[in-house]
Amino acid sequence: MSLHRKKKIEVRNLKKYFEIAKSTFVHAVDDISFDIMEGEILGLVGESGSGKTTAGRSVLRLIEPDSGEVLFDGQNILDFDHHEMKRRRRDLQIIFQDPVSVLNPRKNVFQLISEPLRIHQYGGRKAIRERVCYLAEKVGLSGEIMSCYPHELDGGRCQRVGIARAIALDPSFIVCDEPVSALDVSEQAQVLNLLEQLSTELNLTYLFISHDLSVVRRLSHRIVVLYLGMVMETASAKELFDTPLHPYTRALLSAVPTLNIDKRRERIILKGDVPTPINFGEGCRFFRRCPQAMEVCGGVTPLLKEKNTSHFVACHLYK
Amino acid sequence: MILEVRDLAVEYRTLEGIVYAVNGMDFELQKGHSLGIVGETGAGKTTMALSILRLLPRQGVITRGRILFEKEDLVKAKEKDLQKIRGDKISMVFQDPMSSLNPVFTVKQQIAEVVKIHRQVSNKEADDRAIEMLRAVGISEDRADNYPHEFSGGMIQRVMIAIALSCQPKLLILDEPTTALDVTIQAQVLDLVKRLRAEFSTSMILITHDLGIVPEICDEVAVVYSGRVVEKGGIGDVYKDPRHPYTEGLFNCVPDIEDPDKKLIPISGLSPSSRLIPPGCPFHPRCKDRFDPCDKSAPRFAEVSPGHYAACYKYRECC
Repeated sequence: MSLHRKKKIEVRNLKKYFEIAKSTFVHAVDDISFDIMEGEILGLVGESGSGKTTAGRSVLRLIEPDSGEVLFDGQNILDFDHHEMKRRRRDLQIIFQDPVSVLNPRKNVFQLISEPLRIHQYGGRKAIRERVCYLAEKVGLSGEIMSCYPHELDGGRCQRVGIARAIALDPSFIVCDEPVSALDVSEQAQVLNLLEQLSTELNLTYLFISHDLSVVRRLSHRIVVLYLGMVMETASAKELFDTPLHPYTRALLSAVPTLNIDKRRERIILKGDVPTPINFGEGCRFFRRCPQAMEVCGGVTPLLKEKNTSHFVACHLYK
Repeated sequence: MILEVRDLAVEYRTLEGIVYAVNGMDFELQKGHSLGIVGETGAGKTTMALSILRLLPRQGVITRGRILFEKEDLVKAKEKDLQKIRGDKISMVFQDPMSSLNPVFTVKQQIAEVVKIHRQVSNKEADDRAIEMLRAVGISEDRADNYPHEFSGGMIQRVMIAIALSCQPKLLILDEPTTALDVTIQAQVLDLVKRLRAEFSTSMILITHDLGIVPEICDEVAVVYSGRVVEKGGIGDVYKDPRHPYTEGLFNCVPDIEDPDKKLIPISGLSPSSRLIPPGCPFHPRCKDRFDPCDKSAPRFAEVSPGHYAACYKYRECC
């Protein structure tokens, strides 16, 4: 565990709605709040429609949030103008899910890694070349592939190029948006190990977004569980997995497959499908599928409250 | 024995050359049993499954081997005999539910269609059977006249299972049936398959890259690498006492929710090419235990303990 000194990121009441038809809104991110301490890896988990990808992009203003605050080292980045935001992007980076499609197919590895350095006027040719060599080594890419193009590399190597680009300007915060989902198992292990190693070596703070709970459990210090755009539960990784409080978290964890054939959790099978968060009114988002739903759950939206130390849950079962 | 695959080899003849997808696959399935076929992307699992029902695309050619279904060799069977088998004696559920159904017919029509092809029944009887099957997979009758686009991925997969089981096949093949689904929906679908299997005593083959879901519904597992089965045995045997370095490698590199501090050890080297097959054991270029005979000729599949088979020289020495 890294030193948790100060708050690196504070997300407050973040909202993003998408208007898909006249007066019909998808409540993709609906009033979410969480903090990430410096050096911490915060896992953001949820299934389809949970809003995790929209949340990750909104935090970096790749999608402009509708309301709320995103404090980075105490300053609200939503207030920054275009120039200030561009300057800050050196510090706020992202690693995407599909490593191959995010890389310009007409640039070779050297050009791809040096691109962020050139955009932010890092220095002259010599300085850039030295930095690229340093970055390539840091992410485990050999010198021979500098002149290769993305289509010549496997998914794992492409993702390393993506990581090299993300750390090129010495950021302090990186959003990892499903960084290993498109990789095969061995590549996944390599990239996860690399991300973990870099976070300690370079004192990086991550917002780690994934639908794969086994991966999130392995890497994260703390975890936020989203369902239909709202936070259901937040806790340390260990606490969440050992004592999940929210019925959704319990069902979610029970559904995760494990290799250990002796230690299988009791399966909680949920009824129905994950609905789309369109025009949601009051009430808990999970009401329709919750095995422990009470009458109040349909009419009153539960607030996120601290139940145990640093363990927050939004559920009427806990008063 | 309901199915025996013997020395199956399949290649794809493409403009860029030959792709050797299946290179001598051997396995068998006892009546009433359930076999999981695991391997990474490109191992040849789907190609093998399509070969059983002779659904390979034009470029796919079975170059050798036999597929014995109830003693009849499907490789040699005529198309009109295969049409009687598909959907009736052997059924398949495919990978991507959203592209499996015909968008211009209702789900009831698509289930009834299969019944009418294989049984001499009236339209009304076929429709009744369709509704019965929908009920069996947990979809209410009032949705029978809905179109595929009105359903979610999980529900479509349940419709696919309804279609597959409508004529009570002897063998059901499921090809990555839950890969595109959220984990809670995956749990629903697997639970359904487990129940229906018990009810209809169907023999089953489950193809997946996810090692975690195999113990849910399978009695045995076959591990596939580069178009060959490298290990096969009961779940207990293979999961607790793997006898092939590739199987061990797979278990060591995958994160496990029940083992959060597990060190992830990637399998060294790159995924095998299906255009250039090295001599000897297909895994030897990446195997940390390789020794003298490994690059000369491929090890035969041999019994390493009762009912547990592996194709590896290392384990042959000690038994």
